[in-house]
Amino acid sequence: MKTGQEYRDSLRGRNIKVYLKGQLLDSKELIDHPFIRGHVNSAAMTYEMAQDPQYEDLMTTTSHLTGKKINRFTSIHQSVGDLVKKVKMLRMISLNTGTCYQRCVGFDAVNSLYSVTFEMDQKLGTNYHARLLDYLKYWQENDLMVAGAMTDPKGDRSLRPSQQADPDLFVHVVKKDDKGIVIRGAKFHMTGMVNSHEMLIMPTSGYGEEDKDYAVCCAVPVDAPGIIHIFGRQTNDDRKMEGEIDQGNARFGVVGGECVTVLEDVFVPWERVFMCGEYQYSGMMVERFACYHRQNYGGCKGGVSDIVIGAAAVLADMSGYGKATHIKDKLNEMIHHAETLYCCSIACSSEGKPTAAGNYYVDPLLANVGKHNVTKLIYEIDRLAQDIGGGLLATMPSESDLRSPEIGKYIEKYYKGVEGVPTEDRMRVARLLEVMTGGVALVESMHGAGSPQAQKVMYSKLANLQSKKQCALKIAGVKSSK
Amino acid sequence: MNSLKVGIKYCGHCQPQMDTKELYEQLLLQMKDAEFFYFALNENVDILLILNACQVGCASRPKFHGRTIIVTPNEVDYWPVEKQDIVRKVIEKIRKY
Repeated sequence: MKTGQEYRDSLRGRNIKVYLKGQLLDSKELIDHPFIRGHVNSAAMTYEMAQDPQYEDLMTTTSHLTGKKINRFTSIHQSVGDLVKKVKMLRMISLNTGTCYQRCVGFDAVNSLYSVTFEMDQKLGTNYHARLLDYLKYWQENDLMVAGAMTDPKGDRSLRPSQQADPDLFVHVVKKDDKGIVIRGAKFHMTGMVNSHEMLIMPTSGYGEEDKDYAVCCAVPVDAPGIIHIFGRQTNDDRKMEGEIDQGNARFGVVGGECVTVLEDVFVPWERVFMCGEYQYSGMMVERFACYHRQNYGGCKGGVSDIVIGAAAVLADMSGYGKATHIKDKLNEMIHHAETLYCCSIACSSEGKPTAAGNYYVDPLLANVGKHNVTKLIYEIDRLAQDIGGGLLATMPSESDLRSPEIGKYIEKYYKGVEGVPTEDRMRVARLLEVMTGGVALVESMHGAGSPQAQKVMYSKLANLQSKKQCALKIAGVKSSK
Repeated sequence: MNSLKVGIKYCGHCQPQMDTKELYEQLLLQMKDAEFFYFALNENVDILLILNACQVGCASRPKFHGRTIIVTPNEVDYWPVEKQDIVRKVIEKIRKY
């Protein structure tokens, strides 16, 4: 397993092309860029904590391929216990970072692909599963960070990929030969991509035969020829060019440092291709990935919510109203919501079962219900946090004002809360609450792992309304209704 | 006389309600007559001490044929113990070996 430092060093060895605000960054130095370093620090925690005896029970496991101790983020779930530990691991890392650490997307992608390639090979006589196992061994051996690349730009949402005016709005195969394939297109919302080693590309939707060129899964190094990444903007990101306090979470940043990844005729050798034209399995791939990814949110957002709850409570104490009944009531409501999210993730893991390939898969109904709760309850948790935090969160002057020789004394004097708490500490907690409860952090809860409607479609399909109707009719004593 | 060898195993700390490192440090301070190891690095011990940071106590139990002591913030070997008595109780259990 890599240490945190080895992970950072390995990133410097890439020839990755990342543009940020129109400028190409130096590939050796981009991990130090103020816009990017927090996300690198956060991802590095997944390496550092795996080395710590306090966390190894969750952070590590044994490879079912090699028998070696590996980072859990590179593993294939072998039991219900593994599914549960995944959720606990995510909550624990969130408790230590207060943000996204990005490594779950590739983790979920490979677990989905593991069962999909197995079933595809059985039905179609392809050879993808064996290729995936080879790739997985390489992944585990090198403790790689692999970004999961699913969402296409999609253009006109009412049209299928092949109906789009521009065929590149969905990633597709443009050429095949005996050595491999060439792909073109782009992937949006690429969490952790600029600080990953490789990416695992997946289709964005289930396709029909007319769109079979879009049914493609493959692994590519993030610095392969033809790939550029354009780093996304975040709310108040220019604060990262200043001091520390105004960033709120200066060490780890907010969400996952997303980018758009452009794939301009990228060659992929056959040994890294895991689906190519098998459109019948594209929907299965998307669904399995979505369910694994939706499983996560009560873990990671549960942990992030723990920090929001803690920050709101501390700010109330620092401001002298921590003992007020209505504050305690609001904090309890926040706890209730956070633990509800966690319950869903634990439940869908506990109800997991083996696939034909032998790896374990979550209960899709409960995973989707859980993620749908996230799209609501995180907003409620954050609303209550802002209620407790007060208008200070939106109007507080900057760190530069606090440090100013001329006006710093006024900030010190007028932003003081209870006696004994330094003004700077109160400002730090207020800023943390501000960045964690607004802007990109909230949007991520809404759309990460799929928008709410996607979850609703899945659970309405899985919940079996007809059987509920039958049960109701039976209990009501209705005999005539069919 | 050979000193008692105690292997330490932590849970993953997803609900850190007890500082298990602090507990471990207290054991090191108060049990000079015992040797402590991380179980993952040395399984050749007399006692396996599993330290859980919350009452769920979900730390995985590795294969071990000797005496195992399981600690949570409110229990030692599933018997209720007040938080302030945990260290004393664990020492007592180890010494009974």
